[in-house]
Parts: sequence; structure tokens; C-alpha cells
Amino acid sequence: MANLLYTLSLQRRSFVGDFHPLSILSVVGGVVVIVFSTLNTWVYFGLLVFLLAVMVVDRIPLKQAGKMVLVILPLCFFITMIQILAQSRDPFYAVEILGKTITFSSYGLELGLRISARVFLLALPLSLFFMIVSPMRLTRALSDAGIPFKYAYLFTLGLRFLPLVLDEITTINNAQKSRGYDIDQSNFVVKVIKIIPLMIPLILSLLKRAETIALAMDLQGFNAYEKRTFYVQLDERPIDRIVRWSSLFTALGFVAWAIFIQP
Amino acid sequence: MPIIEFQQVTFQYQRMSDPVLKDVSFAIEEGEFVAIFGDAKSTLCLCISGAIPHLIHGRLEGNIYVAGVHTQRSRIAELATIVGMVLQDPENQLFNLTVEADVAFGLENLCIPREEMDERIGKALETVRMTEFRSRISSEISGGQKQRVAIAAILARRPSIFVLDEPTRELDPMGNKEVFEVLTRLKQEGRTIVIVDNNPEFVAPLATKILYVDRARVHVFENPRTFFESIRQSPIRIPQVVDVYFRVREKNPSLAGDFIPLTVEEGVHVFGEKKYHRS
Repeated sequence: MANLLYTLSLQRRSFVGDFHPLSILSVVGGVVVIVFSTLNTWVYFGLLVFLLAVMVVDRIPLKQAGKMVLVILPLCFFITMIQILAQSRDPFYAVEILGKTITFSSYGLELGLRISARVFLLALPLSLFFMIVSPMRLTRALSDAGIPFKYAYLFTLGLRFLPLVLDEITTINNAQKSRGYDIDQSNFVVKVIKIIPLMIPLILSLLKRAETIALAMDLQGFNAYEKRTFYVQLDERPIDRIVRWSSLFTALGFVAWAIFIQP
Repeated sequence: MPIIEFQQVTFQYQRMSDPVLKDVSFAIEEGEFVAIFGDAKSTLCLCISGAIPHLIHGRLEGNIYVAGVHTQRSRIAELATIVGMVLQDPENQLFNLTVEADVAFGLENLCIPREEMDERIGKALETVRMTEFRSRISSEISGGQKQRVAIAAILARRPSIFVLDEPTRELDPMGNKEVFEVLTRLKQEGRTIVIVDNNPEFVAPLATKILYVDRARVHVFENPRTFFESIRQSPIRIPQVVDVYFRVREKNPSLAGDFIPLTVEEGVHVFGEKKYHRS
């Protein structure tokens, strides 16, 4: 999934992507604050329209977002079912199982759907963020904001090597299968136990790789000097400041509304 | 002044009981293409690049100079501008998400001004024939291409010396060929190259000097042909054409002659005009 998200940001320039990464991050932060401050359906609808508009303006394929939706759909279903069964207000259906009455609550259904919408509206802007903002621009932005480069760079480094880690897991799994140690042919509990012996070669291999990567980075002068130059250029435009302040005030406004005005 | 000089160098890794290099002395001149065979090859490479003793610890005695700079007394950042090292696995040398960013990485670390970076990146990618891949995602290119990008990342820094430690080990034959094409070009440009590689077919025709490490001692051969002659009884793999030459010479010395061919073309020249009669 990470591979899918960031590759889009690397393959093209976009209108929204040209904003300073911290401006885009401030908008995402604002959306997150608003989502947490209320469960109002109309607010959520408005946020959804806003995020869909961003996708249209930035020409992000709906298919990409659709894949993210598929990932969180089971979670949303689970959340909704829990609320339907856990809430007792306004039951719309009841069933007797082993002498106990289980009620299905319409209030629980509504609450479950709102919480699921909250989960969706948290996941969507974060996913869009990584589809729009190139990790290298984000690294530069974080470094300019005062975060030491070696920490700001961790994210890019992680994304670069995540596909390799996944390949390594597949290779180890296949190697063990060829020796008759097949975890795929087991039930869930046995699978969890059987994974442990696979972790040992994986961890050893990752440690060895980390050592070599560290050597290669040092040989290229990584962290040799306190300051460094950057190939990626970031321009802070007046509109970036407008976006950041707007996000801040909008988020604060919603928090105030939620505390003092919202019924 | 030689561009690389070892003066009575002895090195022992921290957890080992015996030194892997003992009283090693040799000199490499600018523009030479030096191949290393035998034991402790990677150790020699790490000593030249300064990784030993700055990054890999052990007991190091003697003096190592690269372009007149004493490696033990200099910072690794300074040595990175003089020596560029390519490691075995290209996956572990590309840390960024695009080819362009990977080539720029070393320049950023060494505080090269932004205005200079574009030109250096362009030239480096052109030398390794990877210009059209400039915007590509690093994880999506082949092994041979990745290794070429790793070489480009070094080229951009403009070091005086290139050290390559088994650069083709993880590559398929096509990747091998791509890397050695680049090295041939670099040799023609007069770069100083030190290489460890298990493909003697590719290395032998390019080498102007051989360093053979045997039981912690380094033997210097100014000519690959004398080197292969001297290691005939050892388990070191020799180019197939050299092997054929030795076998023919054993059976019929007059057919083989004195000239040891290092390439198929030279082999054809040695054997091609001779008539072979079955009795």
C-alpha cells in the first residue's frame, strides 16, 4: 500500500502538490481536528465533498482511493456491528440465542455508521497526503522546520526499503515451504505460532542489510557535516501562509462550535 | 606520486585472532585499472576507502595514502571526495526513491551548491547511459541499472579513485555486461579503478595490474598474463580462454606459443591460424 501511495507523488507534478508540504499537512491536520470535534453528518458530508474536490482538481484516480476504501471497509463493518449489538437504545430487531435475547439497535447502527465515517475521513486525507506530497519534498520541509535531517529522512528511507522487506518475507516463506514448513495450510492460531521461526531469519537478514546500508551511506558522506544542501527546492509562497492560517482558524472554529454551540 | 600507497600495513579485525593483512606495501599510479584476487579482497577495498579504520574497527598499523591524503588522519567526509566505493548489492546503495535523488544524495551530503548539482547529475547519468531513467523510481529498475546508478552517484562526486567490491555479484549476465561497459569507458577516460570481481573474463582484459592476496601478504603483478601463469595450481578461477591455452600448451607447446591470450579475440589470434591434425 505504501508503495502504491508514494509512487503517484513521484510520477507527476500537480496543482495541490506544488503547495509547500507543511501547508498541505496543515490542511490534513485541520481535517483531522474537525473530524474528531464532531459527529455531525452534514460536517462530514462537507468534508467528503472537499476531499473529493481535491482529488478531482489534482486528478487523483478514483481507483487509488477505492483501493484504500477496500482496506478499511472490513474495519468499518466491524465497528458498525459492534455498535449495533452493544447499544440498547431503539432496538429494531431481536433474536433469541441459547436462551439470551440479542437486540439490534437502530441507534447503534447510526452511531456505528458515524464512527465508520470518522475512520474513513481520517484515512482518506492521510492517504491523499501521501499520494500528493513526494516524500523527498516532505523530508526537505521537515528539515527546514528544524527537525534534524537524519530523523526527517527516516520516512523516505523506510518507504524505499519497505518493498525489499516484503520481498524478503516472501523469499523466506517460499524457502521454508520448499522444506515442508508451510504456514499457509494452517488455521489462524497455528499460523501465528508458526510465524515465529520465520521471524528469526528475517530479523537477521534485516540487521545485516541495515549494517550494509549504514556503511554505504557513510561512504557517501551522510551526516558528515551539520548542514547540508538540498537538490529538492521548496518555494514558500504567500498562498502557503494563507492556507496554513486558514486551516488553523477553521479547525479552531470547529472546536469552539463543538464545545459551545453544537447541540 | 602514486595515487594509492600502502606502507607496511597490517590489519586485524576486532574479533579475529590473526591479522588479515600483514606488512602490506604497494603503490598504484593514476589511471591504472587494478584487479584484486585472493583473500581479504574486501578488506583492501575498505582500507582504500577509509571505511577501515573509521567505520570498521580493528587494529590498523602502517600508513595508507589516497591522493596524498593519509586515510587514518582524515575524516570520512574528506575521503568520500577522493574515493568512491561501490558495494556488492546495488539495493543497499540506493536510499532514495528516484534515480535523480540517488545521484544527488552524495552531493547533498558534501554540501555541493544546488546550482552545480544539475550539471553533475546530468553528466554522471550520461556516462553510465542512464539519462532517460533520471526520473524513474529506483525500485523499478533492474539490478544492472541500479549498479550503474550507484556508479553514477560516485561519478557525480568526482572522486579520483573508484573502488568496486564485487559490483556484479548480484547481477545477471546482462547486468554484468552493462557494468563492465561503464568500467571500460571509465578506464578509457583515464580513471583510477580498483576492482574485486569473480568474473576474470571481464576483469582480465581491462587490468593493468593485479594484486594477489595470499595468506595476508600482497603480491603485485604488473601484468595479468604473468599472474595467471603463476597461479595455475591455485583454486582461483581463471578466464576460460586462459584455461584452454594452458591445457593446449600442456599437450602441444608449439601449438600454443608463448603469448597468453586474455580474450576470445586474442585466443583466435593465437590458435586461429594453426592447423590441427588428427593422427
